[in-house]
Amino acid sequence: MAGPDEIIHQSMRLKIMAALNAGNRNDAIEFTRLKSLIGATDGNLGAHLETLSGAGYVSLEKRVEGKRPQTRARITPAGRKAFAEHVEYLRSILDAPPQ
Amino acid sequence: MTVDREEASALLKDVEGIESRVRQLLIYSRVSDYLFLWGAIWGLGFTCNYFMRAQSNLLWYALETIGLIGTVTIVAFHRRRSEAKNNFAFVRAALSVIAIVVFGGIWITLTHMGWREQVTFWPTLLSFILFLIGLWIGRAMALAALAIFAVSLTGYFVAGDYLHLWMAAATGGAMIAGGVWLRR
Repeated sequence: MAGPDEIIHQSMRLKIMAALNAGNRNDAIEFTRLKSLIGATDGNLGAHLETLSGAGYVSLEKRVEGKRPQTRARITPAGRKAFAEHVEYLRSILDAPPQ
Repeated sequence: MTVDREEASALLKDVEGIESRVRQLLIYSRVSDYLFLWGAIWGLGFTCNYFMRAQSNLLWYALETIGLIGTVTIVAFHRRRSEAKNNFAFVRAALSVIAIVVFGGIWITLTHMGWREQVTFWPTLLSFILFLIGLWIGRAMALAALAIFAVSLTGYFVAGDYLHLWMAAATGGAMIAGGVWLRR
């Protein structure tokens, strides 16, 4: 069984990964929508997305829509795998007999 | 790094909460597509009913055909994007639509409904079903359905000879507005 993933384990990053993983396979989530989904601030979310992107778990897409810059985040296959393994790890803690 | 049971449990609860919210948004997004399509079709159809009464049957056949083709296209589009290809869900959805149409047809025939009742029957029936589904899926959907229901029923009592126009503008408009609201 895989151990904890230290990058995903941080609670805000875990929420980001959960949101991105729950969508359709190729769907990206827009920054503002993601912010309201997980209850983060702009700066907080931006920093965590950079961390996840640096680890190769999330790809970020910046573009201009109308006159407004827009950032969209999408989970990568590596991110999906790492998230599934981390959730599996958390479940295994609950399934283990109490010490 | 060590994680105890309490922390693991709290984190998994967070994950489940987020996943259910995202699933709800995906459903809202799908429902809004149908509301846009059928809101536009009903708007156009009821407008034709008012201004071109003689040709309205033919026009309704054409519009309903467009609606069905549009519905199948939307279903196919979402199926292609969706992670899980659930054929049983697709068959169940198709059977549900057929059951609703047959149910409505039976009661329209058995009760010899007049044109005003028929015009009001379908929007109120469909919005009522949407309301019931919304009670399980989420408040926004239930409220949007309730608004469409209320607008349609109000038209029956207040619109008089302009009922077709009411259904075109108010009910069709309420469906499109409901779709926009679900996507906000």
